[in-house]
Amino acid sequence: MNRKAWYLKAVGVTGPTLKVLIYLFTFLISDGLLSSESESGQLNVDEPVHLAGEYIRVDDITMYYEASGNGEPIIMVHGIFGDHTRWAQQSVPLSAEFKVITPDSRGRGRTSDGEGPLSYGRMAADMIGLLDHLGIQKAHMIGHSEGGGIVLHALVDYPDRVASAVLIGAFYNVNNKPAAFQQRSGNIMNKLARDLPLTEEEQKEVIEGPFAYFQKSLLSQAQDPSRFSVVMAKMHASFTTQPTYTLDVLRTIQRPVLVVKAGNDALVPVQVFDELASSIPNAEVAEFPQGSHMVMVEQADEINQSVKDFIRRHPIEISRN
Amino acid sequence: MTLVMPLLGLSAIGSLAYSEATEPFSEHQISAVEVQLSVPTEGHYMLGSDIKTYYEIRGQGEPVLFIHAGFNTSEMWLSYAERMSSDYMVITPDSRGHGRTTDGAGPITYGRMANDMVRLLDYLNIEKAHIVGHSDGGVIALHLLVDFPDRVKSAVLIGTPYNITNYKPGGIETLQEIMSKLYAGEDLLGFKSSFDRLSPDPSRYKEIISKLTTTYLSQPFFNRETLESITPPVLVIKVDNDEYLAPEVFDDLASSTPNARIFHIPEGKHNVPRVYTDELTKAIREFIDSQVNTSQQYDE
Repeated sequence: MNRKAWYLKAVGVTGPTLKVLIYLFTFLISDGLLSSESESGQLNVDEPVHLAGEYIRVDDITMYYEASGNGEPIIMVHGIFGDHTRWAQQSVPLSAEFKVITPDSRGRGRTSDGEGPLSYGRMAADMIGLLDHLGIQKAHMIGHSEGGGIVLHALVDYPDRVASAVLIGAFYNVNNKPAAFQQRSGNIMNKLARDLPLTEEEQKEVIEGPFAYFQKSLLSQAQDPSRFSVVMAKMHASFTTQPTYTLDVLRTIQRPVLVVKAGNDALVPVQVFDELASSIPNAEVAEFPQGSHMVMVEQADEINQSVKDFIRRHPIEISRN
Repeated sequence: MTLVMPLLGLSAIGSLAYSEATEPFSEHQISAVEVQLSVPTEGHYMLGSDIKTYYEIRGQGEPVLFIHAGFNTSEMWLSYAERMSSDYMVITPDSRGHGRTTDGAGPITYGRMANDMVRLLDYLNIEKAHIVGHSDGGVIALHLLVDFPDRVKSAVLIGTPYNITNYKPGGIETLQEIMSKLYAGEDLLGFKSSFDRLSPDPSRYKEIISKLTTTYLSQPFFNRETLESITPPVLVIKVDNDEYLAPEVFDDLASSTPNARIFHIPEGKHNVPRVYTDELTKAIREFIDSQVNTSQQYDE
């Protein structure tokens, strides 16, 4: 099945004219040409900057990442429907001072999904594999949404590789997210994975909601788009059961952590940010009362300033044996 | 906790700063290793990550990775190696911070130790292995089942909790007390004397106890939904007299894990692997053989 065919099949479209319309519409939406208040956000990059991209072998996957700049390394881990382009408004400004590394997570963007699951533990191990490949002993890590959960796993299991961490739109437990959102998104993932027909409302969600970014991302760049159903099934398994950290687990984190507290995040209740900040012993908070789940897109300058201030205050320690 | 937590900050000692790394730091790049798979009883060391991993390997056949319990070492599996290495490849490592394996710069979490096990499989060129885990070793096996199912042919879980709430009432308090006494240097469970005898650096004792305490008082954190997402076949060893784990834990594991079955040793306690060696060896052999036969059928 070619790329267009699986995509259209996934959104459950049959009429040929409608197909073309939806196809074009999706591109317009996810390219940011049409504005949308949805989670897909808007990318306001005037001139696309081409960073050095590379494919590497990590564990059982071929991982794509881009890197730019010199200085202390920052690994930026995108959310469940994202890819490295989610950080377009961070990677360029921050690379003036830091080495900014933006990978595509397992099964997303240009990174293959391999034999393994899309579990948080596995994806954290992938990020450590990336560090190993780059010869980086310690890096700062920034995670958005699912990426925040991956960074939390790195903080718990690989703190010796993490200098500091910034959590944006992050959650520590699958139950942190609103039940209705979980239910709705989980159902769509399950249907896409099993090739079941979507309701009209679900089709709308796939075309206009956060799924659009993911579809566009896979459609335009996936190593093997025929893996769509498999990736969806793996994503569904992880999305509906993970992560399962508790406040007690957060209390064991030793590294400095900046929690971005967005006051208007529809996917993560504000109390979750408070719990992260009060339970992680060395946590600081950056308040963005108007911020949504895509705060790093909407208030890029302010987020970038917070990140810079925080990382400057926590330089990578040069320790010797 | 307050007693031991401050020491955790020391764990970064010994790690290279990023700017000093002149060559790619690859934990998959193994150097200065001695592998002699044909030598039946000698131990080996795997280098290349932040730790030096000690493991023993015996026999040829289906690879079976035995993961020991907390406060234990690979020595607990000697009688299994003797009984099984005639027909299987029996691999018995010392976990991070245990026995002859160093603790490195990293924490001693179940997730990290699961990754250590994957690196050992990588190093031995084993794509998939059968896993047998007791207690802590069972929790490591659970992490392998969740995060690395593509490396697991099957798993046998003995005395294994999946969540910190699985302990019997007062269990956590008892554990906390044990950890405090160990930290103070008491030779509970023979751990201190074993550590002094085997550890490559006995001066790391208190730091290792601190790292273990951090893990024991916050992990494991899986739940029934996690178990439902497990795909490889699992054998749960159920006992009725485990001193630390509530009996329903074994039923939870077996009923929530999709492809699980139970082997029941009613009189067994937490130390069932030491007491019921013959029964368990037989159960493990039969379970592994049934999986191998099944997958061969599928291959045809």
